Amino acid sequence: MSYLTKAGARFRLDIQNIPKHRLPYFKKLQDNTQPAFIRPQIDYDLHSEGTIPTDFSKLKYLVGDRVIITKGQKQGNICKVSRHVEHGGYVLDENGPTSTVVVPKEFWTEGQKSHVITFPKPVTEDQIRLVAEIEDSQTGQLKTVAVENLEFNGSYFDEDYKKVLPYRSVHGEPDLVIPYPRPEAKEDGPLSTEVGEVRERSFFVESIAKDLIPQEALLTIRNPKSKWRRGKLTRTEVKKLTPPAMPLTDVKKAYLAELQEKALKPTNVITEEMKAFLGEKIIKHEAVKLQQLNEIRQAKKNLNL
Amino acid sequence: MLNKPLNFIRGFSTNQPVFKAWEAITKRRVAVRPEYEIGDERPKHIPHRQTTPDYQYGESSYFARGNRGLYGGAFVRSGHHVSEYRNKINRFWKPNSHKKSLWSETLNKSLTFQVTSKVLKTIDREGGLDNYLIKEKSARIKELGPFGWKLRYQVLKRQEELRNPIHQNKTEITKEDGSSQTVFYPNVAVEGLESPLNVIVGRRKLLKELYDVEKKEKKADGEVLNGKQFAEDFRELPALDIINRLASRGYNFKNITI
Repeated sequence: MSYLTKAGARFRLDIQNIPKHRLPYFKKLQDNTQPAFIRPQIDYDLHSEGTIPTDFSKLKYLVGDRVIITKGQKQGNICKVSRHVEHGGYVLDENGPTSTVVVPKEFWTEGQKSHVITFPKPVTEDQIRLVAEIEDSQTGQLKTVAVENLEFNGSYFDEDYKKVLPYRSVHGEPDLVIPYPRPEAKEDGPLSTEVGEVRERSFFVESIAKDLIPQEALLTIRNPKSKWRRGKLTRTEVKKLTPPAMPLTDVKKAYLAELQEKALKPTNVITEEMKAFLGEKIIKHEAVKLQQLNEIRQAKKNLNL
Repeated sequence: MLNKPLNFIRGFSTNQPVFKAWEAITKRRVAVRPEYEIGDERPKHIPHRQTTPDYQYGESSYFARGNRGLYGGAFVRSGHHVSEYRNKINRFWKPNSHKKSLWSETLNKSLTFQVTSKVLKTIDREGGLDNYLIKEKSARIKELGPFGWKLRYQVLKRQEELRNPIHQNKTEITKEDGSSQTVFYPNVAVEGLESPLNVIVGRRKLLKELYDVEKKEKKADGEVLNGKQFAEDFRELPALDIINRLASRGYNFKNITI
């Protein structure tokens, strides 16, 4: 059976279809079967998808944010967020929590010298608070505070992120905006174009009837040997595509010949006899009409008198 | 100058009135076949060559058996079984069809197919299967169906062939040694040759000779002629034109003439 088949898909274990009360069993199974260096470092929901969101309002803290650890052994330490991990985890800098595991030699990374390694342990959202500098309303000096919660509202275009972002502010105080950390500047590559140059308009349509791009230039941007070009029909192909015509029967041939014969015959043949007859009729008619006209004229004259 | 009331003016409708008797046949939806010409853009799929002309009324979708025999426009019909107590149960009536072998005078062979007893009677009245098939009445064309249409094409095509055979002037000549020889094209006058030719091969073999000659001609010019291109250019050429073309290429007619 091919590995592409979906025949057994209905019976395959799908963690999404397992009811919530049965999940601890699978979690335990996972912990028992996976070694410590593979096991996920944070406690997460097996039902959740776990991808890192791209929406800034769903990422509470960004890379570069200063945060204070509120739970665990490293409580009170102030660290910087170095990266996001799946299932809502934040990896902090060297001041953050770490975990020590034993790694077998097959899984050693380059430059590793010991079986025992220590690496940063991700923390979840509820274990940290954002550290921000806020102006004191009484003294007017800047002071460093930990923000209990954040809220997102409104939107603005951020020049550094090149994106429309929501304003991040202290929860309950929408005026107290805490700016996002600045992203690391990206260096321009050899193929990059300056922003100003991109925005400058250089092509103007002058005619809708005539193509400004010459025919020769089109071949340089379109592939003449593309597999999507089907080419032109040949005589043999047309013959293949056209079914034969039904031969005409004798009856049909005779009928068509008769029609042709009829078409060749002159339609209005007026003989001399006909002409004489018609002429006579017209003269009689004209005489009657003339008499009527004379009578009318006479009557008009009489009325005038 | 409108003397008539407006109601009597005929609408701009092109719909033909459909006779109820042929409704099941004439009301079928048939796809319009696009017409192709040389030089048009090639379609996505090019099918095998169709051997029979299109039947204008298409095929029946709900009584497909009728597409494979002479049913005279008969279809399966439905109604009710009505019991003594007037209870109605759905039932249907199938056409009274039988498998029969009928002799075709033109094709000179018997054809075996399903045919209804009503059509059998009509064939008898017409005086044979061929006469039934080639009748030029609109009702007959409707009742023939796709299968009858196919037979009609075979019969008419054969009749045409019998009337105008490919080698019309074929004659038998007795040679000096007493044996006879078939001449397919006798007394063919060719430009550049003094005496007329008696060609003893048919059109197919003439084309074969022309292929070799044309291939050599192309090779001399540094080009390659393949069979596909040759068929494209010369397949439709009449036999006398082939002979003239061979002569113009300086072909030696010794082997194919007498």
